[in-house]
Formats: sequence, C-alpha cells, structure tokens
Amino acid sequence: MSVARPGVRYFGDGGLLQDGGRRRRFINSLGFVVVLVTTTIAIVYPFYWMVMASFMPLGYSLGNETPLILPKQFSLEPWLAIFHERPLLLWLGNTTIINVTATFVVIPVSLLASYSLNRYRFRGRMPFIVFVLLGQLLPASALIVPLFLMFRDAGLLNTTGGVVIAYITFMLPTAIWVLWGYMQGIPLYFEEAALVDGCNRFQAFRLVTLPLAMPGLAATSLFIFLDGWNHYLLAFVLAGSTDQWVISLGLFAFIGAYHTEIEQMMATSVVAAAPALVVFALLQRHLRGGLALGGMKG
Amino acid sequence: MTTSRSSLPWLLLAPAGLLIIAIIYVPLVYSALISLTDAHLLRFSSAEFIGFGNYERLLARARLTTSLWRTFTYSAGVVVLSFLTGLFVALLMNRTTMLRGLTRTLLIIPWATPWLVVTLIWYVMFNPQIGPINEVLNLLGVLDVGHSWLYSSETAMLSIVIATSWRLFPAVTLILLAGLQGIPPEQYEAAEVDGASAWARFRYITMPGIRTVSITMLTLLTIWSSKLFTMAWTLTQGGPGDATRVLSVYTYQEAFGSNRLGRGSALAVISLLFSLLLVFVYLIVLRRDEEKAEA
Repeated sequence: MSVARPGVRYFGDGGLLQDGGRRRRFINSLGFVVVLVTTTIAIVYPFYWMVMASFMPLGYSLGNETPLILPKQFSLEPWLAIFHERPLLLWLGNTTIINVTATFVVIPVSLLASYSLNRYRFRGRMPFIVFVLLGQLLPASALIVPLFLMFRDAGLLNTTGGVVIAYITFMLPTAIWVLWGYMQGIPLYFEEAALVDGCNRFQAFRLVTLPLAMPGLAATSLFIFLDGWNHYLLAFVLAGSTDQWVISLGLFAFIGAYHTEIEQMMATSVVAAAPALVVFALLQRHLRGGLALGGMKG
Repeated sequence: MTTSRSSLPWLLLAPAGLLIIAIIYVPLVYSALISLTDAHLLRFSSAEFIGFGNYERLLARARLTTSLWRTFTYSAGVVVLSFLTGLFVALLMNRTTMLRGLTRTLLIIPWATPWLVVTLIWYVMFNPQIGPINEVLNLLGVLDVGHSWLYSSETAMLSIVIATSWRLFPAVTLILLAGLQGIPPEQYEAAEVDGASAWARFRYITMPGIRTVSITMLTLLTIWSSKLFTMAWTLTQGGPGDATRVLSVYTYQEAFGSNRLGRGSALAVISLLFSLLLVFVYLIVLRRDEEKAEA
C-alpha cells in the first residue's frame, strides 16, 4: 500500500502532502496510509454499524456492552419483527409507486423543456431559466403551509396522487437542469442533417435526438427516482395516515416511540437504504457529472 | 440554434412551467398573503387581515434572531466541515491511483444513503447508552460518563453538523477530484524545478486550478444546508431548548406544532429572503472573482 516508492514522483496532490527526501518520504507515506485508513473508517463505520446492529437479538443493545466490531450473539429477530409488526411492505410499495409515477411524469415533461431551452432562442428564454432556478432555491419548509391548505381544499391531502404531484414539482427543476447538460452534448447538426434529408421537426427529434439522449434520460430518471427517497417534509405534511406513508415516515416513527428499538430501527434503515445503494453502486461509472451535484440535495 | 418567433418553444415549456407555477409559485404568493393574516389551522375560514402584525411580533422577539443565528451557525458549520473534509480526501485520492476505485466506491455509501437513514444512523452513533462514539471515547479514556451528544445544548449543534457533513462531503470530494485531475502535472514539475515549496505549489497552482469548481460547490453547500429540515428535525426536534432550532424547523413548529399558519407563513417568507440573501452574496463574490481573474 506504500505510495511514494523511491524514484517515482507524485505531484498530483498539489504539493501539499509531500515533499522531497527519501526518509521524509517514508514518514510521509506512513502518515498517508494512517490518514487514509482513518478516513475510510470514518466513511464506512457508521454504515457498517447499522448493518451489524440489524442482526442483533431484539433488545440486545440495551442489555449489553456496545459492540464495536461484532456482537456476541447474532439473530434474525429484527428482520422478522419489522416485516411482522409494521406494514413495511405497504410503505415500500407506496414509496415505489410514488417515485415511479413521479419519474414517469417528470422525464417527458423535463425532456420537452430542456429540448426547447437548448434548441430555440426566443424572447423570455433567460427569464424562464431564472424562474426554474429560483424554484429550486425555495426551501420546502417555506411552501409547506400553502401546499397543505391548497391540497386540503382540493381533496388531495392524504392521497397518493397529492404526494405524487408535490414530488413531481420538486423534482422538475433538478431534472430540467441535469437533462439540459446532456442535451448540450448532442450536436445540433445531426438534427439539421435529418431535416435536409426530408424529415420534419418531430421526426428529426424522434429518430435522431431522442436515441442520442437515451443515456442521459436513463441517468436522469434513475437520479430522480432515487431523489424521491429524500423528500421527507413533503410526505410528512401531505401524507397523514399511516396507510399513505412512505418508508421515510415509517422510519421516523421509530424515534417518536417511548423507547427506541434500535435493532428493528437499524434493520428498517437497511431496507430503506438498500435500493439507492445498489443502484448507485452498479451504475456509478455512468452517472458522474450532473448526478454528482444533484445527489447532494436534502 | 434556431431563433424562433413561433409558439412552439413555449408549447414545449408549458407543462413544466405550469407545474412549477402551480406547485411552487402560487403557493409562494399564497404564503405571502397568509403571512398578513392571523390564520390558524383550526379556524382558517375566519382568518383576518392584520397587515404586518406577524412580522412585527416575530421581529420583536429574540426567538427569530436566535433562529437566524442557528441557521447561520448550522449552515456555516456544514459548509466548512464538509468542504474541508471533502478537499482533504480529494487531495489524498489525487495523490495516488492505487485504491482510487475502492475509495470512490466507498464514498458512494454516505452519499447514496437516504437522508432519513443518515439521521437514524447518527441518532444511534451519538446515543449516550449504546452509541459507539461514547464507547470509543471511553476506551480511549477521553470521556468517563456517557455524554448525551444530542440532548446537551453544548454539543447538539456540533452533532447535527457532523452528521450532515458525513452525508455531504463525498460529493465535494468527487467534484474537487475531477477538478484536481484537470491541472496539468507539468505545472507542478516546473514549480519544483524553480524550488517552490509545498505550500507555494498548493497556493499558486492547486488553489487557482480548482477555484471555480470550489466556488460553485460552496454555493450549493450553502443553499442546501440553509434549507435542510430533516437533520435538525429528526435528530433533535430543534432542541434542546432552541439549540438547533433552524429556520425550517421553526417554520414547521409555528405552522403545524402551534397551528399558527399566519406566523408560520411569515417565517417562510423570512427564510426565503434569507436564502435569496445568501445567493446574492455568492453572486457578488463570483463576479468579483471573475473580474479579478480577468484583470
């Protein structure tokens, strides 16, 4: 794992973390490994602990010394309990339905918008961009009161449809933003060539631009779908009854209880985190760029 | 590019535009209107216009100032901690290609974990009885009794800053790493030949090389951390006392905890102005930076 092998020079750190001299280099590389290991532990350990705790017998954490690396006993109890005692599958189902529906609406809508912003220059284009960007700046907490009242009056409170509408809107600015980046990478002259060859605008879009935009569309849908796991406040206020809950609300309910069932809570957390992590891990190579920025939103 | 006078571009924008107007901008105006009334959740129909009464009452209290200060502290803490950690790890990763693939995969873990799961993980990490953090501090002999990280007003803010930064710093790392890799190695070689110190190389080659991407990153971190609700609500419910009552939590508490929709809406308008102010400050910084770069 040694890094600074003699004779090999590394400049890439910007010069801050290394300097000349062989002995000094050895000390540096030792320090480097220590720092790297510490950082890795800081990144991974909390997550590791969650997975480990989900396999401890129920109540284990309260009765025993905190296990740091492995507990003395393992058990599947928490996993059986969360599926028996709580409507976890229902919440997972709700989450999936809401996110999939929202994604299916957001993608075509944002595709049209980003196509328009990319291919045409027209009066009001810049104001529209600012309008979308400002929409993204607004904190959900600033809109939650009127949304609650409007949805109540429209009979959308505590309905899956209501949550979907809210999710769609909060996902739209990000989707337009990310897709726009992809669209900019598709040269306009491909489409112009198709027009010269006798296609109309729609055909040129469908036969030339759309296939080229597919990877971007796939990445954006995926990102939007995963982003849906994070819109907590909207679901919190708009979906009141437990039947309509999404998984994040089910998770939060663990903390409200008189005593927290750590093992069950951790098992449920693993369930909630799994889809996002699996998808990210499988597709991380294809998803850099826009996703990197989008994935940070709260 | 096509310069168009037809209505086609607007037709294409219409679905997105209408949705954003209906669900973001109409509520925004509505919120501003409600903030001028004494609306209450349970007797909303009898709400009366009271002008700037809500704002006057809010401004007269120390609570708002405290909450603004908490928002600022939280946001600043998260921006500083996640940016510095992110930069540090990016510099480490840029130093060697070994392990880069592995580290990159590991970095995905906090970043892809849903926010609420992140809060629950840290809820357990900080737990006074069973939390691994206290356990480790005990083993190291730093701390004897179980310290209640989240329920003590001295450490509650620090705790949620740490938890939030754990989720955010990997994105900073990945984006800064891309920036670092764009700096040509010849520049460092030339600097070395000229006898530039490590610090000088960092100051005059690395920092300018990642300046723009850093400013973008800092802007985004500021915006997102200033409007984050999940952390401060789930981990501490704004407490203990008002130790972590950031604006988003305060708004929620007024509107749905005390059912005072009018005052909650006034807070919403104030937090909106606060966000705009932050963005405005950054735009000024960015413009000044560009002017300096051109000069």
